[in-house]
Amino acid sequence: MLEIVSMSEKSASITALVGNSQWQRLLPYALAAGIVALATCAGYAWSLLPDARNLSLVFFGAILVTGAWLGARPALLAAVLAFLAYNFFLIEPRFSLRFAAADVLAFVSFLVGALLVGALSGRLSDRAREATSRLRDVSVLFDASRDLARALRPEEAAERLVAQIERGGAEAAVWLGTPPSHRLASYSQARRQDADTLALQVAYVLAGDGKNNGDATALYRLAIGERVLGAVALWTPRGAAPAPRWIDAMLELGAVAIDRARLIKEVAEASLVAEKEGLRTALLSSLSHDLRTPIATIVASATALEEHDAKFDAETRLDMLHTIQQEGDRLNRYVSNLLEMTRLESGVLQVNKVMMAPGEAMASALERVSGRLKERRVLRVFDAGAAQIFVDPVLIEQALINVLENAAAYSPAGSTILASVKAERGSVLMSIEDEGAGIPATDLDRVFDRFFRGRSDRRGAGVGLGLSVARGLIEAFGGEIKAISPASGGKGARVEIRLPAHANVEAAE
Amino acid sequence: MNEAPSVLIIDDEAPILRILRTALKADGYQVAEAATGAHALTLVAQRTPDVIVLDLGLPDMDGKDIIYKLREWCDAPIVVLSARHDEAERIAALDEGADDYVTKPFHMGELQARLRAALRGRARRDSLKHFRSGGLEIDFDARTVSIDGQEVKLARKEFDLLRALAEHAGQVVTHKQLLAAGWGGTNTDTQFVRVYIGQIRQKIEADPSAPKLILTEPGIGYRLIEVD
Repeated sequence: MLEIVSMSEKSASITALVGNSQWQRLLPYALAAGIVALATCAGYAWSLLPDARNLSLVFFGAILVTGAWLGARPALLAAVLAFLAYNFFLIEPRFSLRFAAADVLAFVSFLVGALLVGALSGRLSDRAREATSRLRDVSVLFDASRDLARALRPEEAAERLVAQIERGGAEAAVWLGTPPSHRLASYSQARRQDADTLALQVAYVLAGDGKNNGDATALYRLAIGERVLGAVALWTPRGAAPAPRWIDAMLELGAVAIDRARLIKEVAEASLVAEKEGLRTALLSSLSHDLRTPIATIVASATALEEHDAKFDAETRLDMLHTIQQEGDRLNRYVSNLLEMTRLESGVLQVNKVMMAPGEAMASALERVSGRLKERRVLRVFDAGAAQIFVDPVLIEQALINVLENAAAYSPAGSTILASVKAERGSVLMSIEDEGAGIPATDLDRVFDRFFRGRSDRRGAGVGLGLSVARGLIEAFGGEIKAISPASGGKGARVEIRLPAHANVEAAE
Repeated sequence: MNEAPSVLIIDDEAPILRILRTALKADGYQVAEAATGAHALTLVAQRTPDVIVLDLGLPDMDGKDIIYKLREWCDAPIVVLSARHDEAERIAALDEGADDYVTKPFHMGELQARLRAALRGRARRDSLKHFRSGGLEIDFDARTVSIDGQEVKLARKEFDLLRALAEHAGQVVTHKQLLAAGWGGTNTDTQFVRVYIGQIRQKIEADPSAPKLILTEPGIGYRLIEVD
């Protein structure tokens, strides 16, 4: 899975798991000598007893103990020492080294015993040591993998990888991405400058073209299968470097964590794109229905007039012309809301703010929608005193018209619509209240979303842009808009628009 | 027809309903209207209209479901109103038993022609021996076809297809229906229909590259024009 390009032969040749001092290496031999010395003392004491026989067995036992405990080489030393001591202290003439032919047998058996036991025990203790170190490695790697898996962004995974490598006794720098857009994502504090000087070599490594940079730094490529994720530079301390096995495993974990974080990020981005796609689909489907209806009505009416003019009486003709005009207006409203929305979103909306009385804005909006409000009673409560608002007169009127039309669309004929303007401390409150079915509590925020339409009843309602445009405009003037339902009468809904109040013209300039 | 034909308009858009009501009344229809699928089904149960105009985008029911429910006991021709891009929905509506369609926005004259064709279709299919449109003449018993008095030789499948188109003259005939007429439903590759319609056009159209008799309804099927 992980492809690693080693850049430095030096670091590749470092094999020691943990740094050893001189003393630690000599200790087994000293112990071997000690054991032989003990055996010599014991053998000498034994030889003083009457009928002492087979004294060589004492030394043979010492060699076996040494071999089993300390391994082959100390055992060999023990064999040589034992033979000498045996000959010197226990073979007549004592306290002199004089070799007889029969002694060769003792010497050879000492050596064979030392070699056999030493080799066997050496293999066993090597395995045991290996198992212990593996276990330690595995638990370290397991902790590291848990830590790395917590990263949610590739940069975070890179930081955690550097931290893990530092815990293992080395220093590192991590680059993410592929040339030419690769970048240094994380590094050990002391290696900032070193990392910068490596930028070019990293590019080579990432491009798959390994090149030795000649110092003790090792560069590795992080990759999952064919996908190159980045590169790691590793600085290992002389004499106490982590094992290559450990480095491989750590880098593999790092690569997996970075790839995982990258996928998490991609999934998050993909869902954002899907959301935008969903909005576009909503726009298309609502446009296809709501823009088509007025167009269909206009075309049908016009062609009917053209083809059947003679069959229609004057009243019918007038009615059809009226329909064409009304549907043309409706179409115009949809289109202008759509355009307004686009302009609001793209930021090209021209705003010409002036000081005006809030009541004036509300009155002109009511006037503009009087046709649509014909079948409703409109109650006006204007009590703003001298308070002024600093807004674009055309756009504030548009926002109020949208709220009024929404109230008309969702309330029955014959009901009352209350339009009020009030001055409050530091702000002006404009509210429009209807006696319709109201808005479910869960939808109070959503009514200002694009393409949201209350209930399944579509008649009279537009493309679901009116309140959304109103909110965009009001917020552009530094105000806020919210919906409350049920309204004061226990039914219907109230839309409240709050704008900053200005006492007089000077205050704004 | 002795008395004025009755039409039921099913549409939830008040302005469209109004203009259809006005124009169709002026054209001599007795008009009934419904704004929801449920209401429409009730009206049809009370009195079956001669023809039904159905908007596919109703708020309470899927257009296809309404056609399916209507077809359980009512065989009045159904002309569907649909958006131009809803091709799949249109095909589904025709498969479900609708007779024809008009895309929005439509010319009133177009809708009226479709309604006339739909009303005529039923009567004709039962006792059709002879068909005449423009210069095209078909004798169903003798299985002969002539253009401006000149006899044209048609292969058997070509004649079957032309007959299916003529039985629904003025109305759309889907690829599926044509496959059923020519191959008895054993063939499902609409490419065959295109090839055979091409051959028929070669024989009966004055200019096969600009057909005047058999019109293509893209993605849906073909329509044999009726000229008096």
